[in-house]
Amino acid sequence: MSPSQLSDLLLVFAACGYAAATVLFAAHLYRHGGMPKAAWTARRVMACGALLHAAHIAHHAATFRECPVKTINTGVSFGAFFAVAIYLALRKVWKLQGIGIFVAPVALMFLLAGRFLAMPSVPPGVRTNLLPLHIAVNVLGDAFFLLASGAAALYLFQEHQLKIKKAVSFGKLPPLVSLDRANHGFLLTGFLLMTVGVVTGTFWVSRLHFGTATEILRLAFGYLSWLVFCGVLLLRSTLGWRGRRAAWGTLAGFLFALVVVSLYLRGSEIVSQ
Amino acid sequence: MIVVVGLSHKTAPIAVRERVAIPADKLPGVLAQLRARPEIREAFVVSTCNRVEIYVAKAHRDDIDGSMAARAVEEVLCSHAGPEVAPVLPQHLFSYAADAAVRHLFRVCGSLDSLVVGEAQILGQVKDAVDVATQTKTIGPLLGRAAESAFHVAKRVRSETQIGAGSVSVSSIAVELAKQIFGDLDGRVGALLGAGTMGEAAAAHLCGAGARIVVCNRSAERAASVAEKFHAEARTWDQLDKTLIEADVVIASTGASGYVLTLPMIEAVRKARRGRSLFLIDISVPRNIDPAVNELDGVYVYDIDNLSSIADHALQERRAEAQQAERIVDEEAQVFEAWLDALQVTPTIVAFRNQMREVMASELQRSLAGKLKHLGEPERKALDGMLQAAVNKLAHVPTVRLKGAVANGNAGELVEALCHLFDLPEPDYGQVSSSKNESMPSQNEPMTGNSKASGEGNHAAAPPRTEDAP
Repeated sequence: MSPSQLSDLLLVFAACGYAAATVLFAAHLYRHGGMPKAAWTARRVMACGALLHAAHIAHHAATFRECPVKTINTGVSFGAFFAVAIYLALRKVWKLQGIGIFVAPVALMFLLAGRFLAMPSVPPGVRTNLLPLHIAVNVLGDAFFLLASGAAALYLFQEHQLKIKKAVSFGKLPPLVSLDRANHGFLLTGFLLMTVGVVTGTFWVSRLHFGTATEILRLAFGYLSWLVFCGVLLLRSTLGWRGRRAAWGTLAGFLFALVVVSLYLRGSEIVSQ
Repeated sequence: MIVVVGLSHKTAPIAVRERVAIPADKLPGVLAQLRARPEIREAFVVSTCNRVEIYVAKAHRDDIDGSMAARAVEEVLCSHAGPEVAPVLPQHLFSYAADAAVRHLFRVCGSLDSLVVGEAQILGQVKDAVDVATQTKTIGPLLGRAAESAFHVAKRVRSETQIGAGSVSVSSIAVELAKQIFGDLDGRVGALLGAGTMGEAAAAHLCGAGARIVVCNRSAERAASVAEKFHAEARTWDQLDKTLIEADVVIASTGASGYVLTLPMIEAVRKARRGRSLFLIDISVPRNIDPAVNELDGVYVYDIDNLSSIADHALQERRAEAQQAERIVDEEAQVFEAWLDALQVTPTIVAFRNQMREVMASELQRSLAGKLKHLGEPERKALDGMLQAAVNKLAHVPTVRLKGAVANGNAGELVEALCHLFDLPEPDYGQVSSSKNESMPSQNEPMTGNSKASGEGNHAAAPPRTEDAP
């Protein structure tokens, strides 16, 4: 078996783990009263997927002698793994038992995107030693934003359930306060990382030509998402905007960040090998 | 015959129930109103947030199916509800008579008819209702006995089934919801507005979950008295805004007839709360919290009807236990019916025998004063004994047949026929009640002139009890 085949095999198993975890989390949340065994299995399957994912990243890095966050395509895969690892580590501490339904499918999506999208062309002006740092902080920031938006989505879902007063099932989803606190914590961490990414990105802005609409949009959405996250955090600390408003703000910011990642990946070519 | 007329969470929405609910201070007046009706002999009223039920014993023998008594109760309820609700009230009322009414009372006390099956509060509420009726002297031996049996049913249901295990009462559902919002309630502040029974129960649950309780009441003394139960802080009503700013969970359980917490009031305190979630539990009827408050971001309002939909799920899980409890209700209802039949049969038998004895004695006296006046004392005594024996032999078969009818459940018809044929007086439950703990003579033993029946003449076969009813 060639190294690339082994790498792909690890990737397939990791993807299967994330997919199975998604199905099991969904079954737990869909069934009234929950399926505790399904949730228990989902967490373990997800952890196995994360281990295989880590092995895939490590194997790929060792085989190609390449930093996992050197390029955006491997970076998104690393970011997805990082998000899963944080979720599994903080699940008990912050009582985040339900966020898996959000994290597992997004991790699967990023894992596959990292594999099937080729490295985008990097302009010569930005090929410096700071590039891996720029990508790393942005990828890690996005991982935290993924978790924050997962908490925000579940907050909005659960808040809606409580508001309409129907089909409230106790214990399946984390308490609202836990979700809000997790949203804030992840958002703040992601924002700090993203700020480093924005600073390093701004440093290179003058060296780029902005010849295409994609590059302009990427830049605009990048700053926009930073501004939205900044606004959410500021309004929370000054005016006490939390709960539903903070959740919607987080989701809006994450959407913009997702657009930026998509624009990067859109510029790539599908790997044929 | 017992008749019940009322409405409950199953038949009427909260908007109707809150208009028909009878506050504690008006209960004696309503009971007096009921007792004043010629169709009603005894009455007690159960008025909770989930039900208003009036149990009565009919007064007239002609009221065969209890419909006259039911109509009288309906009229009293309509007059109490007022002209706005009265026209629509009948469509929300239910009515049961005789066995069905007794079974309903048993089911209510056994918490089988409750919003949350298995909750314990209803038993205390029925006990309170019976106490009020006892104080106002509107409850008599028939309803008194029915209530006593119902309390026994409740005790059996609790001890013989798991219906109360992991109980999900309205209070505990409220606490579960609070946990769904806040997670751990340790250190959270729960505010109790007012001092209703359900409110106190919910506060006790919150306190048990680790919340710090603050009691806010219009009466400082009442606030202090309730606060003492939870080692809580007592506040007067002018500190309501401060309480609302501090609290995470608010339980409204006041006797106010309108909204105590309005939309502008909560909007104002929300600013000071800086976005912290607020869970408002309204377990008052009429409601104390404007439902529009639920539209505010981070504010959740649950009233009794909202909690009922959650309770429905718990109901499904308890169905198996409830079936077992229903069997207990059936058993006890049969015991009660047998007692009721015996209640009718025993005084009728006694009256029948007394009447025969009186006729015989009268004829003997006339003969002894006339043609037989030459007889000496020994002969007179012998004649008296002969007549007593004749009475016993004549009464033996009717006595056995009537007691057999009690076992078969058709004693009522025979009693009615006997009373009609021999012009016997209607059985008087009042006289029976004084001796309800005495047992009825055995079916195999015909009553004799020297038996217990020869005393006051009325004995009731009390249902067997293994333990004292509460």
